[in-house]
Amino acid sequence: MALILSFATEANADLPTASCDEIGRATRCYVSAHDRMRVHGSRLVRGEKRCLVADYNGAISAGRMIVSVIWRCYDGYAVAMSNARILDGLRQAAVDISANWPGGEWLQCEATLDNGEVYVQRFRVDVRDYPCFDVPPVVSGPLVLTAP
Amino acid sequence: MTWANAFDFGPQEVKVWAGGASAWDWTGTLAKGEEAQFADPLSAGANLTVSVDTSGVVSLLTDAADFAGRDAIVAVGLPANATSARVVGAITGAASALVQQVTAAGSQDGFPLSGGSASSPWTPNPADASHWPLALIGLEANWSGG
Repeated sequence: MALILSFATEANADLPTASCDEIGRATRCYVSAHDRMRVHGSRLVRGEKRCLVADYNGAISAGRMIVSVIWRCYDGYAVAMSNARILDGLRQAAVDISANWPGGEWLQCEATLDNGEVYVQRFRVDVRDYPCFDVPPVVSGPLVLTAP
Repeated sequence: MTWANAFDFGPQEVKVWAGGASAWDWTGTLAKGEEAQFADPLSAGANLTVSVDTSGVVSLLTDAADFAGRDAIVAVGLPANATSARVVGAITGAASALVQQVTAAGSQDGFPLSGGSASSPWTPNPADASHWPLALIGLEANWSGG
């Protein structure tokens, strides 16, 4: 077998650069490689806006990368989603959530890997509002967001 | 902005124009570590192999006995999110290669993608951005093909 040509290519990418300052585990989920039914629970004060992170580093092999992600929420009322993205390193996904109204919300992150596998992580976010301050609610959010 | 191997974005569309006919001789999607084999259009009974190794290097190989001066063009689909692309490192092979860079804006410096000829360069189809090339490589010997 003779080589005709060989080369490598690089792309200059508009990778998502928005950082997430979630330093604890309140809205950062370390996705389990073993328990795929694990639900990450969060309780937020109404009026908060922060990122919800699905960290797949411990759930996928070292060479795998996330190529696309879908974020879904059940009704978009208690929590409003925005700005779905894949974080630097292509092994974490995030979406901004606004704690909009007292109540619970189910969300899930569907990460498609470069080998075609899809890993789903579910979240339950409970929004608390007692005592109730006069925080104006934002509008209901979308039910589905995708990135890129 | 960061530069990364195109295949770090996931599987990429690869097209091979190997024989100077009127269409791509092979098109498909390859990820790191994958290869595809197809009949060599210029050498009966021989096969061409296009492969991507685990580091993302694309290679075109043949088992034909005489391949010097072959017209070989390779295009790799522009990854999602990418705004421009480039060929990095030395291009190795049977002959020196002429390299043109392609950007998402469609600038390709006269290198073909489909149709056209050496004197009338091919252009990407703006309506089909997913098929814009990341890089087009033609061996200097003869890359007219169209």
